[in-house]
Amino acid sequence: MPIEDDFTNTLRAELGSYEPDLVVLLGDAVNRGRRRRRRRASLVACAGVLVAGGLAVVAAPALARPSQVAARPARVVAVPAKPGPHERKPPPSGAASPTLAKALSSAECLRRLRALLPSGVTVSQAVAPGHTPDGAAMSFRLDDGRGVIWRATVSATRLFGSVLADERYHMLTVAFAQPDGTLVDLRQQPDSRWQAVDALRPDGLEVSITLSPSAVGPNDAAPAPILSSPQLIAVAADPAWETAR
Amino acid sequence: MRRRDEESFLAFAAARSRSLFRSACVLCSGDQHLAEDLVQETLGRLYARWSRMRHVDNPAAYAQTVLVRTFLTYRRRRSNDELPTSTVPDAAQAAEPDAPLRVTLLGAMGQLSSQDRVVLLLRYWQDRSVEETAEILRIRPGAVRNRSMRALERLRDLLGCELAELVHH
Repeated sequence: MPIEDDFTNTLRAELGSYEPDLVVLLGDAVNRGRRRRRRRASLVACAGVLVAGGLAVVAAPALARPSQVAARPARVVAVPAKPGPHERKPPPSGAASPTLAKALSSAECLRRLRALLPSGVTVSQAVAPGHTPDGAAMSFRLDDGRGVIWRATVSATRLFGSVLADERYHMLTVAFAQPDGTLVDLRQQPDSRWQAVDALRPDGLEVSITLSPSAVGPNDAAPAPILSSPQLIAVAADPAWETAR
Repeated sequence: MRRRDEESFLAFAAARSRSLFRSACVLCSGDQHLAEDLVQETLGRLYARWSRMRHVDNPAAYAQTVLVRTFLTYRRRRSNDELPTSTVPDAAQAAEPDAPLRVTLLGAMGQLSSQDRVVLLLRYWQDRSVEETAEILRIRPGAVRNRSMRALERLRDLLGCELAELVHH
């Protein structure tokens, strides 16, 4: 038998028993998908703002110097030397247009997590493809000190405009509010295999954290959660994420 | 995403996860952590574009294509920021009776380049044609044939008689 058949058939038979933990797999996949959609929507909104800003910058000088346009000969339609009632006002200098904040680097995120996690939990960089191209989500390994390794996927994304409005509307239907106005949506499997939290701050910064135990088969007993629900919420809703950016 | 779309995505993902996971295990040479991460990233990408998936003829094959491209993107990036780790991949940790065979096969795959692994996966694991493989990898069909031939030769060198011995014992 040629090696390609021998190799493939044997490998198929060998990997037939490989079973993923569907609960963890699908839960984290949906979270990543949501983050990706939000990130993309933010980028589109940001691009729209930049284009509008660019057009305003190009149009403003022309409107602000109508006399120069009027001085041009021929073909150009005459524009009154004095500003007409239809002329646009330049944008107020104090009104900053929203910009997409710099993505949190993996090293910064690691430092922030170290500072926020309770004592006894150690965190290290994961060697995993959780680093999405736009840097929206980062993967880390958490050791609970009791022999169980957990995987944490973390993202910190600033939302604004219609994306922020949509997300806030969604969060208002499922989340509860913290005293500082942060909306928190906590989701977890009853057997604690998987926990996720989204914390949307009033200023639009959304921190999402997903925790799942590594190397625990679907039929294994679920380990005790590495963080209690209040601890997980405290980490995601901490104002330190804002200063880290 | 609307509730109905999300439900259809979850049904699709649940049905295809095993197949994607096994393909990912081959690509990641048996490292189940990486394979899980790769599948999650793939499904996350599919989720983000799920509303447009109705235009795709064969979503299952498309999911495998996304998996392969995600793997190649990851490998390109990883070559720059890979960190050393003291942990041993799962394949070596699994103490099962047939573990040596699996470890040998996946270990041999692990010694091939990422592109070679992908070509073997697409051609022999997924039974894709040369033309389909070329389209997925965005290379010429001739390049697929050459790469496939070289990868098989390398496997033969790596495994030699060992494969036949392991298979028959």
